[in-house]
Amino acid sequence: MELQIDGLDKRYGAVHAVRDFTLRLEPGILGLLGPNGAGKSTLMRMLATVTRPSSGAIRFNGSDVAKSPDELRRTLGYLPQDFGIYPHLSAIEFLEYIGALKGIGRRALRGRIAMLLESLNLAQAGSRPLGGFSGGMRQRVGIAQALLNDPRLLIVDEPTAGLDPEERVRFRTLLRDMAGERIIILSTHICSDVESLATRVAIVDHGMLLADEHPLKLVGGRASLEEAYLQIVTGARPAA
Amino acid sequence: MSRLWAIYSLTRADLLERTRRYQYVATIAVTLLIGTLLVPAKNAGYETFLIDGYRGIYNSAWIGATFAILATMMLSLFAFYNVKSAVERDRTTRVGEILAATPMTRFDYALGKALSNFLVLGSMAAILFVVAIVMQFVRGESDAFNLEQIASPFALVVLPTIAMVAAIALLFEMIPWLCGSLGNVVYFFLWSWYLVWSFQSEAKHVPWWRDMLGGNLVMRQVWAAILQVDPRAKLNSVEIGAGGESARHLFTFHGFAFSGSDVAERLVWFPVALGVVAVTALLFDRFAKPARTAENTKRNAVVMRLQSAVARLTSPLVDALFIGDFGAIVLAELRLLLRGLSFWWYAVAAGLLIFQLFADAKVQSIAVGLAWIWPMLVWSQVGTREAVCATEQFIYPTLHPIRRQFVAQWLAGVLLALATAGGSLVHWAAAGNLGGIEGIVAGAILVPTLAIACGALSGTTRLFEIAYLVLWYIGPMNRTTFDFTQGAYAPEFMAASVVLFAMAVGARKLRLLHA
Repeated sequence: MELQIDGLDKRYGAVHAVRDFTLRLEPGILGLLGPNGAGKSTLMRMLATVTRPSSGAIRFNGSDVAKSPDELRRTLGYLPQDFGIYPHLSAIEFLEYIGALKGIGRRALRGRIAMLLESLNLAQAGSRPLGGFSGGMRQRVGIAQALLNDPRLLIVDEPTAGLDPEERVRFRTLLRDMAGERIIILSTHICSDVESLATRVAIVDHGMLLADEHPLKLVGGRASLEEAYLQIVTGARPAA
Repeated sequence: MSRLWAIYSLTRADLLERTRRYQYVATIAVTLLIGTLLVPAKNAGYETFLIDGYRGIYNSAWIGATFAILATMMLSLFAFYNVKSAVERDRTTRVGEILAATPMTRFDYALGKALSNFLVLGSMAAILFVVAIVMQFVRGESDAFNLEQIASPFALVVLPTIAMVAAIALLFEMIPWLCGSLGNVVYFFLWSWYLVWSFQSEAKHVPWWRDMLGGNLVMRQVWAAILQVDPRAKLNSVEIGAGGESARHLFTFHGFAFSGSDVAERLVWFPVALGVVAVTALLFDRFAKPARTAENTKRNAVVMRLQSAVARLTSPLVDALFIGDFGAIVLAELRLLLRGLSFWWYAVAAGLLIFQLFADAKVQSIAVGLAWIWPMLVWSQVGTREAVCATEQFIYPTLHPIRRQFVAQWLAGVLLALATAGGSLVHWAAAGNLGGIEGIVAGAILVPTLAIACGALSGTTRLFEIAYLVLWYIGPMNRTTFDFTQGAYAPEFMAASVVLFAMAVGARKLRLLHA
């Protein structure tokens, strides 16, 4: 399984959100780091087939995603940074809805939802309306919907935002257990999450790929990944 | 199977989300109330369906005809605005981005949403159907109950209409310039035009495409029945709705006799609706453009320059006029109201002001009416901006949010109304006509008060837009007793404003309590 990103570009009018982005991904966890407005979310929206690139190509197992997006969608799990829920549906009803749209049969879906609610510590709240959920609980529902179809490609944008430390650890464990034969793209601001999980780290700023390395290689002689990240990002900026 | 399951789940989730909202319960309650009013008692002082003074006795056939024609009209107008939010909900709740990453097809999405629209409209039709049955027994003019005579016009007239409304509402949501408030206005005028067009037949058969609402079918059959009773009857007037005319003749309507072609001409609307859904699917962008980005309008450079120049010149005057804290809030609200309007908006408003100045006294109400339809979409922000822009969490904890911000917002709307009718105010002042000035002032208070009440009650701009359009059309444009620009009715409209304002404050207080 491979995901090939070739010379990807995305423009919104005069704003150049992603520029000439090239990366080849194989099973493993890619940590995507970058400052606010670096183009991470735009890149993820393109990989998740939500937005089409202005130019360049994304190929999943050799097939052009722009031409046949459904091949990728069938095996995709996507957690957007800023997602919503239907406040008057229960968590189970919401997950049934998303699961059906992902093409999962009714019986398989029920078992999968029960398993995910259990592993995300939401089993007790499954029948309650989502409108009454806390931010962290909503985030976990978002994670559950991304994992419903047991995705081969999982794209998660700021997945631990709003989670308490205990839930963060639980989510990290879940991701680590899931890795193996999947491609997981994890965008975050939390360097420690990337450091503990990622098999590769990509640093992005101004829509460009600045670095793409194993975390240990990227840290090199520096004290931490955070320090390496700051040096790379500030070093790439033109002097004032 | 998988696609059917996906469409079923889409429809179900959308329907559950809508029907669990309090707005749906309110809609059902209003439908129930309206249903009971459609069959007025003999001494009620109004009739809802009269043809040239003829009204059928309340047997099953007449009740079926009355409910069919009124339901098809109400559901095609008011309920359109109720259901035109299926895609918007996915954009504003941001569920759309999750859906976009699934293998769901555009057509499945459009069909699921259209089915949900149809079922919501169908639930309203079902309520009216039950009320129709009950009202025959309540009025007791005829004991002979015939379920088929009530059900068949509902099935043939109302159901195809709501199928089309469900599809058209979705189509409007997919077209960027029709998905918002402008689309609401466009639909109102299209609906009004189509209604007049389909009824311009003197109860003669019109081609099927001129009778989407099925009104011609009902009229033809009822008129044929009247001609059997009185062959010399002339079709001079048709009254549908709550008219003040009394029934001059009662007759017994024995019911509809639908021919094969009648049935075919109604059923054809189902495949047409499906075709509209297919077109809708082609226009669906799969949430590629987030709603807020789509709504962002480019500020007109000319207006920005003009505004800053005006601000520089008028600052000392404004400072003197809006002394103190409350004045500053009113000014801020006024700025928020006018923010982002294009040069052409001001140009048209100025043209309408000039028209008022030179218009004859007889056409002043039309001149003011035109001047007050132009800022409708500006007023529709009043009372809803906090909910629409999600600023409630900033506004509500401020000091006395109702006494200060809420009242200031309303006052900004009143100032806008007075400013846009300035030409007429000058006209009446020059003519020394105090009544004319009273009318403008009462109207200038009524319109923003209606806006703030509708906004505070519903949390959306839609309720005001449709209520005001209807009031504007039957008032200033047709110079009826609902003409809120006329001095003669100023006291009544002032009283209505007081009631509406109390409702607005009550609704905002409730929102503050439950925010």
